[in-house]
Amino acid sequence: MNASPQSELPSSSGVTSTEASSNARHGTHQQFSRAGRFLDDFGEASIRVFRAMTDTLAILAATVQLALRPSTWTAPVRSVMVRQLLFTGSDAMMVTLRITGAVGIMVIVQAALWVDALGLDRELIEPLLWRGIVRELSPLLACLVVVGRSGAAVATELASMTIGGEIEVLDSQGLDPMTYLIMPRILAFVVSVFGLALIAATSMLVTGFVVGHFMGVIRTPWSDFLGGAIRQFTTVDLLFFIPKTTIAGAFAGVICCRDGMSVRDSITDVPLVSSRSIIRAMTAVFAVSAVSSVLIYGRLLVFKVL
Amino acid sequence: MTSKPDAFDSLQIDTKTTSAEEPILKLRSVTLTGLDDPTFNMHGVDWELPSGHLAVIHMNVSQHPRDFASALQGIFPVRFGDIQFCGVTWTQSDVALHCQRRGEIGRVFEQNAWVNNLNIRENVLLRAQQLGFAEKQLDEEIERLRSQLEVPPLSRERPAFVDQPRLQRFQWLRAFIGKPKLLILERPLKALQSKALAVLLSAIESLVETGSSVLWFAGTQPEFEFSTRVPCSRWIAGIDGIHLAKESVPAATEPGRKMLEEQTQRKEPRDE
Repeated sequence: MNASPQSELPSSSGVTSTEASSNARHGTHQQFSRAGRFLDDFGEASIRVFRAMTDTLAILAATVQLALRPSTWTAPVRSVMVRQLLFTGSDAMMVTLRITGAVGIMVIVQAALWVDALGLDRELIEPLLWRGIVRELSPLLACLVVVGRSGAAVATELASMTIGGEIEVLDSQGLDPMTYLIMPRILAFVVSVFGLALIAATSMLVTGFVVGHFMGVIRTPWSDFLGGAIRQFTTVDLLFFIPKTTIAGAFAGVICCRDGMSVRDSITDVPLVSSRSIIRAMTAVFAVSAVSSVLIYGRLLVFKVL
Repeated sequence: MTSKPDAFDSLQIDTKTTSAEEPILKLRSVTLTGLDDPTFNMHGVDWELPSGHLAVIHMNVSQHPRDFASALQGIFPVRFGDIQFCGVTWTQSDVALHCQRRGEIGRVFEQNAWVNNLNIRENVLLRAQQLGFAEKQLDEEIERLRSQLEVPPLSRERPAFVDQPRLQRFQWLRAFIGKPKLLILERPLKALQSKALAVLLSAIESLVETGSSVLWFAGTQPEFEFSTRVPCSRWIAGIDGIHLAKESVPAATEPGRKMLEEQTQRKEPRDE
């Protein structure tokens, strides 16, 4: 009660000066506190992203290191690898054919529409089809098929295993979870995405040709079309296709495995982890595709950047 | 009363002499707080398990040994101190060596003991295959152990479709394959009838004779009874969050002995 009597006088708004001062201090404090909270959240998010990136790179490095070591390939690890290839690669072939067949039709229809609308020569359709499909669409679609089909399954399986104590059971028997569970899955993702991207490219080219031929958009015979497509093929395409499929597949695999293994609480977290994992993996796939395009072709969309 | 010797009388484990060799397990100032069971805590425990030795740890029925057993295998982190298995400290960073060493430990889990997407046969053979056993040698060993432990034929069913008594027997088989240097048994008689005790003890005797050590987390009444009769070191896990306290080994009382013999000799229906 040291405040002077003046300070107790109400202002025109009916608030005493003590209250006003207190409110002002409180307001400033709130502002600082809000700013502090923002910085806190921002810092936390940055650390989380940084940690996720370093974890991802560390898992990738460990996968490569383990895969190159002959002693890694014991009978149980080989068995997991074969099963995973079967599930991720072989079982996904029909889905890939169906999806990419439909996309091939969409591409040729759109290409024909735009060539007609812009009054361009129809001979442009073949290189457009080839480049669009081989460079961009087939790796992306293969990744999406693998992530949507196997990524969710891997994340769910690993999360369930973690919560159910199965990882501990494996570990207790001398089976390193990284070697037995993660490495084969990531390698299976890499091999499957590469293989499915080849299948996707072939499927899209064939359906594109067939539909284009019936629509009268492509008038060349199949042998000429194929010859033309092969002539379009450059070393840069090869340089582009291999790293784009393998790197994107590896990132997708690492993200799904890491998310699956990171679950800690209860079985109800498994679906959350699974859906989050798919979104993250797809984001990574698109990011890798975009970065690869910029690095290899020096272009971001239509803008030359390198 | 027949004087027929049972499995317990034939156990010849010297608990008094300590081996000059490296102990199988060595705990130095270990402080541990269990996640699965917060009541099972250890504070600065020093403990050794020599080779060729059976130790029984009695736990309260509400206590679960999983975290402690995992810590002994270097899977679960201790807060302070370190645990050595055959001279290897789990805090070392050599993952390959750790995996190799863990492969030398057989373990019967109290719960969650199986990889659910593998069938029983694959689960049981997993450790042996990882260790690189030849197929023929493995088949012979499995047949020998199956007959010794009275385990039914290895099925190709998933663990979720197999009843608990059979699963428990399969766990025994898995743990005994490859003559492990250390056998950790977490309430191994769970879901089994008490006559299974004699079978298990006989197998333990054979294993201990080869120099392996056995650590038995006991929790049931028959387990408590047997440990008063066989030569082993007995320990009590405190529920107040401390220590492993050594218990003396009292001579078997006649009523207890009689009850145990009746339990083990009674004609009971097969539990499989």
